[in-house]
Amino acid sequence: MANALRRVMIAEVPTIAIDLVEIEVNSSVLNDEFIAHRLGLIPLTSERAMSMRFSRDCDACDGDGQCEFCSVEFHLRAKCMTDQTLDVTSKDLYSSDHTVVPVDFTESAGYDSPEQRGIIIVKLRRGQELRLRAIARKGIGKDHAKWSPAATVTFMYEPEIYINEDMMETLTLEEKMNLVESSPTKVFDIDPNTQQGSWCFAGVDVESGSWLWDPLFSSF
Amino acid sequence: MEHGTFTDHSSATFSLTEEDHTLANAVRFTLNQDPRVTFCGYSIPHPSDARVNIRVQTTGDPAREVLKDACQDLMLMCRHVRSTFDKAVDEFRISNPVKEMNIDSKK
Repeated sequence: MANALRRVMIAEVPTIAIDLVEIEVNSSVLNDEFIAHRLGLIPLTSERAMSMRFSRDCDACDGDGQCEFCSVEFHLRAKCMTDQTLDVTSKDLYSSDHTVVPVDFTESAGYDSPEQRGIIIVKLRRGQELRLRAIARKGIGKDHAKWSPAATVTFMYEPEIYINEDMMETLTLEEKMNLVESSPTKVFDIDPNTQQGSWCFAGVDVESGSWLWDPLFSSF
Repeated sequence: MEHGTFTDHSSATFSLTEEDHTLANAVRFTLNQDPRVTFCGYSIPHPSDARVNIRVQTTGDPAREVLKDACQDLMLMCRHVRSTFDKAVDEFRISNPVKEMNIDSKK
């Protein structure tokens, strides 16, 4: 069940990503399909994804999958005029819908000294130009990894351990110390004042779900 | 698609298209919780083919009813997880009114 949730989170949660790129001018050092691939991988804010329709299911547009119900249009225009290298970043992508924009990774506090300018798409030299129009569509991670919303998803089972308080009372301090020492990963601890035992979750080997017992306490 | 004899309805193999481990393993788990089930398992004939075979053998009840009940139970479980999650998120939002990390600073 947990694994099913993990699989769905990675592969079947719909997101929006650039899917079609029409390039008018590209005189940069990267070729057209390279830039199109990079554009596809840029994360876009996808709250609208649930209300959007898949392009293939959309009946409002006239077959080209570019109507407002199933797609969002972006355009990018960049030309380097100065001698300094111009970084074309995801912040230069202008959207036709203000709710679907490239994700802004700048920290609000802004204490990182170099100002984050978004994901760099390509760098331009003097005279190089890039002009393109991109269509973003809804999709799921199963089709292409650019539509996967998750970076990584993991889960872990938490073992439930119950210390039998009544039986603990019958042990002498020495026996309790033996119990504490018997765990190879320092699971148990004993409070010297109250002589109460407690256990720390971090020491449990979750994969095997067990640890070596001192044979004296195999009845626990 | 269901494979099985027409006379004995307590055992059947169901072939589901466009499915994979995501659904099959979860359904197999809920089937195992049902006391009417003597055997259940799933297999994927070929990984390139999006097809899953789920085998169900019961103590007399028609296998398709048992499978339907297992799917309903799975839906209930998911509904419960969803409502618990929504409640937990709402409580967290209420107790942490300090601004959440808002990535849409352009709005």
